[in-house]
This record gives sequence, C-alpha cells and structure tokens, in this order.
Amino acid sequence: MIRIFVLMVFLFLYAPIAFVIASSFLDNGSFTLKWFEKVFEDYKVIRAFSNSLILAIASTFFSVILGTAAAYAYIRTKMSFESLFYTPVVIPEIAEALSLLLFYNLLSFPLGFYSVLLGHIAFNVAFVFVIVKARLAGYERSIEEASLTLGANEIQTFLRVTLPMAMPGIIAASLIAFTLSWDNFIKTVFTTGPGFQTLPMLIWSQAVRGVVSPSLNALATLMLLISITLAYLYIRVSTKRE
Amino acid sequence: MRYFAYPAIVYLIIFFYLPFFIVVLYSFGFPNFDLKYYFDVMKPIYFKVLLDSVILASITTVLCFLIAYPVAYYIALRAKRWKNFLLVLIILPFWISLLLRTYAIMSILSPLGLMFTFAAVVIGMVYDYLPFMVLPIYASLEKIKRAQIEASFTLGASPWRTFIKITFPQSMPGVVAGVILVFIPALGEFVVPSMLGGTYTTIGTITWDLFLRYHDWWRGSAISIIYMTIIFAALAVYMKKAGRIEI
Amino acid sequence: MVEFAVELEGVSKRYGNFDAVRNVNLSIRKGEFFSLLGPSGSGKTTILRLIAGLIFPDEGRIKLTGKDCTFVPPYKRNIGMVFQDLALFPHLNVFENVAYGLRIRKLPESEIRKRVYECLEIVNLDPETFAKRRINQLSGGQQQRVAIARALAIEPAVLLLDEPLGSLDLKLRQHMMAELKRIQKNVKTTFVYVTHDQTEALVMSDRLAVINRGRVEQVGSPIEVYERPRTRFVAEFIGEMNFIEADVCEDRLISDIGEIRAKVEGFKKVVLGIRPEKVKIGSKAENVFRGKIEEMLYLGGLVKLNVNVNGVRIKCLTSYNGFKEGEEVEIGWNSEEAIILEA
Repeated sequence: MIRIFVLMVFLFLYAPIAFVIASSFLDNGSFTLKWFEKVFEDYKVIRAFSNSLILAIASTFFSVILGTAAAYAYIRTKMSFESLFYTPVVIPEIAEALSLLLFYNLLSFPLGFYSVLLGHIAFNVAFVFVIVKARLAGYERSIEEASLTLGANEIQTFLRVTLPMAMPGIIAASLIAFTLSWDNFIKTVFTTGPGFQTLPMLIWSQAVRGVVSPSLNALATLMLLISITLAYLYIRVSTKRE
Repeated sequence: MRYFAYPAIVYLIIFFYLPFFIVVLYSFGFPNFDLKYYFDVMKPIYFKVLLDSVILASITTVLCFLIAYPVAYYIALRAKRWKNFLLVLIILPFWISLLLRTYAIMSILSPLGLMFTFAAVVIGMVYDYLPFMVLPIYASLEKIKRAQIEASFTLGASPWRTFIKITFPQSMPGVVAGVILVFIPALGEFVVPSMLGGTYTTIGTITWDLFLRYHDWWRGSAISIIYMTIIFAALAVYMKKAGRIEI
Repeated sequence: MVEFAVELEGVSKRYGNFDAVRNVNLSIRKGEFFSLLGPSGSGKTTILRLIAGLIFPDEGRIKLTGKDCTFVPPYKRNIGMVFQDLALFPHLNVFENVAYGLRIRKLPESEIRKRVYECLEIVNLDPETFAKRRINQLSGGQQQRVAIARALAIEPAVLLLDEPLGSLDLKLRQHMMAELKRIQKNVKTTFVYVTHDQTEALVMSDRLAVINRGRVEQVGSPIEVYERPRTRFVAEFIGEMNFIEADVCEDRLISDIGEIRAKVEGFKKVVLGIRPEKVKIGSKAENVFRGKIEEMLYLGGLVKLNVNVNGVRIKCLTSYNGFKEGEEVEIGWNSEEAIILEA
C-alpha cells in the first residue's frame, strides 16, 4: 500500500521534469533538435550563460577560501562565532536580497556584475563554512599532533596533513557553492543592473507570463543536465572513502 | 590560528549584517525618524497580504508533511534494495533550481489549463518544497534502531501502536526541522506565486513590487522587518523546545 | 654521560580552576620502560603531553636528555608519540605514514626506504605485503603496529605511548604487551607508557609511577610498588588489599579484629594493609584470628574467601581445600608481610 503511494509521489516529482525534457526533443510529434539549435544561436542565451558561469566560478572561488579558513579556525580554536555563519543560511533569500539592494543604493554602488558577485559570496561563505566544518569535525586533533611529533611544524602539517584530509569536504562545498550561485534568481535579480543577465533571469523573463515554449524547454533541459552532472559529482565526492 | 576566520567574519559583517541594519533604519523612516511606515503596513490591504502568505505557507507545510512523512518512513524503514536509489532521487531536486522546477510544473499545468488559480500555486509550492520536508524526517527516522521496534513487538504492541508510541515520537525533531525548512521560506516565496498565480499576492510578491517596481524602500523595509520578526519568533520557540538547529 | 632521558622538575599544569598536574617530579632513565599508571582523569596523559611538547607547563621545568626543553615545540624535540586513537594519516598508505617523519627531515630516498622497511620488520609487519596498503585495509592490531613503526622511524630518544592498547580485545592486548616489551628491548629506546590498566604496567615496566589527582603517589619497580605500597591509594589501586584500621599501643596494634603484632613508630592511628594472597588459613602464623567464611568464590584451583572476623571482612586468596560457606576458620599472617599505612 505504502509502496504505491511512494511510487505516485516520485512520479509526481519527476513527471514534470521528464515532460520538459521530452518536449524539448519534439516538434509536433517528431523528434528534432531544432529547439536546441535555436538556443545555441540565441546571442542572449550565450551571454547569459557566460555571465552565469563567470559569476559562479568567482563566487565559489572566494567563498571557499574564506569559508574553509573560517571553518578551520573554528575547529582548532573552538571560538564560538559559528552562529554568525548560521544566520545567512536560515534567513529567507528575499530578505537578504532586498537588504543588499538597500545597501548598494545607500552607497551609490553601481549595480551590475560586482554587486551581484559580492552578494553571492556573502551567502556562499556561510554555506561553505557549515559544510566544511561538519567534514573537519570528523577528524581528530591527534592526527595533526602526530604530525607535529614527527617533526613537521604547523605550516608543514597544514599543507601535508590537514589540507589533503579536508579536500573532499572542500570539493563538496565548492560544488554546492557553485550550484547555489549558478541557480540563483532572487538575490541576483535584486542586485543586478542593466546589461547583466544570468541564465535564471533569462528563463524567468521568458516564462513569467505563464509562457511555456519549446525553446525554453530546450534551455531548461540543458540546465537540468548541468544540475544533474553537478549532483552526480557531489555524490561521488561525498561517498568516496579515503 | 583564530585570525583565519577574520576575513570571513568581516566579510559577513559588511555584506550581510550591515545591510540588515540598513533595512531596520529604512523601516523606521531613514533618513528621518518616522513610525508611519509600520502603521501603513498594518493597514488592511497589507495585512491581507500577510494573512494570505501565512495561509499559503501553512497549507503548503501541512500538505508537504502529509505527503512527505510516508515517503520518508518508507525509505528509512521499509525500502531495502532501493533505499540508496530513492535517497538519490529525493536529493536530486535540491540540485535543480527552484526556478527550473517551477517551470517544469508549469509546463504540465499550462496545457491542463490550471494556471493562475490558487490550486496551481499550492501545487507548485508543494512540488517545490516537498524534498525539504522529506529529508529531515528521513534523517530522524533513520536514527531509530530496528531493535527498538522489535522490542516493542515482543512486548505485545501492534505495528500501529508501535508507530504511535515509539516511531513517531522519535521522528519529531525531524518533523519540526522539516516544518521550519518549509514554512519560513514558503512565507517569503516569490517565484511560485508570480509564475503560477498571476495576480496572487504574497509577502514575496509585494516585497518585489515595493522594491523593484516602486522603489519604496521604506514600506518594503517595514514589511520585511515584520516578516523577519515572525520568523525569529518562530525560531525562538523552536530553539527553546529543541535546543539546537540541526543542519 | 647523561643518565636520564626525561626529567620533570616541579611541573604543574592548570586548566582554569582545575589542577591537572601538581608539582610533579620524575626522572626517567635512559633505555627503561617507564609507565605512568593511574585512574582516568589522574593527569597521566597531561604529563605525557607535557613531555611531548603539545602543551606547556605553568610551573616547573622539563628536560630531555639533559637539555631544558620546557617551551620547545614538539617538532623540535626528539620524541616520538603513539596516540590513543593511533592518528594514522588516512590519505597516505602504510609506507608513506612510516616515512612521514623521515621525509620532513629530507633524508635521501634510499635511506628512507631502508628505515621504513626496518621499522616495519621491527613491529613484525612484512614490508613487501604491507607497504602499499591503505590504512583502512588494516586490522586494529596492524594499525597499532604501523603507528609504532611510524614513531620509531625517526629514531626518537623517547617514545611516548598514550594508552595504545585500550581499543584492542583481550587476546590481542596480551599479545601486544609481549610485542611492545620485545620491541623496546630490541631498539633500546626509552618508552614512557601511559595506562590505567595495572596489568599492562606491572607486566611491561622496568619502573612505574602511580599518579593520582595530578600528583605522583609512588615511583618504583613493579615489585616495589606492589609489595611495598607507600600510600593507601597505591595499595588500593594496584592489586587487592585488606585494610584494617587500628590504634597503636606500644609494640602492638589494637583493632576490631583483635591485637596485631607490628612495629610502628610515630603514629597513633594507622591502617594495616595485608594482601589477600598473604592471608593464610590455619594457626601457624604470627597473628591468628578466628572467623567465619561468609562467602566463597571458587576460581578453579584457587578460592577467594570472605572471612568475617568480629564484623570485619577479610579477603583471603588461597588454594582450595574443601572449604564451605559458614565454616569457621583461623586466618593469619606474619608481621613482615603486612604494610603499615597512614590513617
């Protein structure tokens, strides 16, 4: 009994997605790739894609460095500042988004790529901190102490022991930070300026009035593909045993 | 070693906490001081929006709970061979942006002609938020050792009774976490009501309008502060009862 | 010639209000197997970590092979350490774990290989089989040995071991105790071994220090510490002991069980300690008392008897000789077999 229910729920969850993917390959019933062609030919899509990519890479890069360092400091010194990092994770996105907008507005900070990037990093730093902290917590201090007793100083210990052991956690956090930036809509749209558009914004602008179009389906399919790839990488990294 | 954390902390103070402080300032009428925006926002038109948002979020939460609990239960305690696979299927939506998922459900609702109704919004909300409810419940059910259930059987309790007395109570932390993970973001949800509901107004859509269309920083801030006060109140209640937030 | 590998002079360590280690003085000889024995929380691990340089004392000095090392960081001290949870590097294989300290010291590759293979052989792990294995592919006992090999590879003057056998099952523990003793004799390194298990300490040590609440209660060879404990704590912590309170009266002690012959000077009240295996059944001893066997535990060959003498329970360990519960017996001991302790 419960099995049927569960089956229905999963159908409910995945039927729409399957439908979108399927429709992007169909034109009046016959198989076609022309919607994908249209997507790749659309200059706006190409530009939004590269914008999203650069934004995600940059935000991941900075947030991982800041967040990992903070997580390491927390694990080693047990200073109780971690609640500072929890708040951004709990606060609803729209509240963060509007606060950044007001902030930029007050400072007359130009809205565009950088205003979006700075906002993304703030949010991602908190996530990276939480994830890396959880991973690092599993490792006992004694491993670093062992390195010290074997003749390695603090820096050598960090490079030869701590960093390699934290690497899976750092990679996992990077994938999550990348996805959060890549998929982000609300924060981006609140803090962006004219001329800077990301893929989610593009999809939104075309779908907002309830418009479902085949080329939009194709774009959605491509993005789904990217998301699934990232998820797959994450699962590979987080279940890897040293 | 502790200074490793300083860059991140400073960054958060500048780009997260400071902006919030500015929101508070604006809600009180910055650069002047005025409480009128709060009073404005308590007026019936705005209040209705608040109420509608709470109703929508509540319905979403309840429906998510009713649907998610059996699924979480099945994966944690019943599915043997499929467990990992089903887990992956539950986690996967987290990696697909809310926007895409909403678009997907829209592509089904649209040909069915169900767009722009309250039902559409609810369906969209449940569709988007369901995984958030399943995972925490799954996590807390997972922790229950099978031996407890077996012990309960040997002591004479029927499966249903065992569920009520043993399993369900121990899943409460997960349920509460799931409720929080759904209700709070659902309150401020913008994408679903605006894409599927057309003119349906929530805290999310009104914040959007006030900020991005009317540039009304003051009323927008006031509404946001009220919204966040509700959230913190709910969280405070949760913290008192549960102790810590599990992420 | 430097005689002592490790010296602690007046060492104290505080954590907030808590005195973990109080005014500890220890001299550990070169080449000896020295144990720090005590209950949990007694400060023995703190002492070990002070010797390692992982923490620094609030008072006192620490010398390693004669040189003052009180505030020297661990990587500049010539020590090796085996941690309670082993702390092997999960991202390196066995060879690289053992080679770690040697790589830091930038030894030539051929030297490293030689040392690593030597050390693996010392701990009885065949290098060819184990060198390339990953840590999580090893059993508990094998991981133990790798941890020891890794610490020995750098040829430390002192090897510190923090309760390394705690997580092993009984048989393995017994086996490893013999192994550790063998290894220590082989490499002749000074071993400082922390444990709460008296069997480990008594079996393996040349000398041991009994630690209680941050203080050294007694230092001596296993025989000394067992046969001639100097404080009540040591007498009670190691082995089993009967304690009889008594008042001193000239050349005798007056106690609840009767008069006892013993020579005591300088105290009015004392506690007499007598080990159960020294309590004999029969009337042939210097001090004899009558009592009733309240409880008998047959251990196979030996029996443990709880004898009630005037309300005082005396434990007796002796060979089984047809005893029955409820039986009346005579028990006794000679005065030189008893230990007089402060009341």
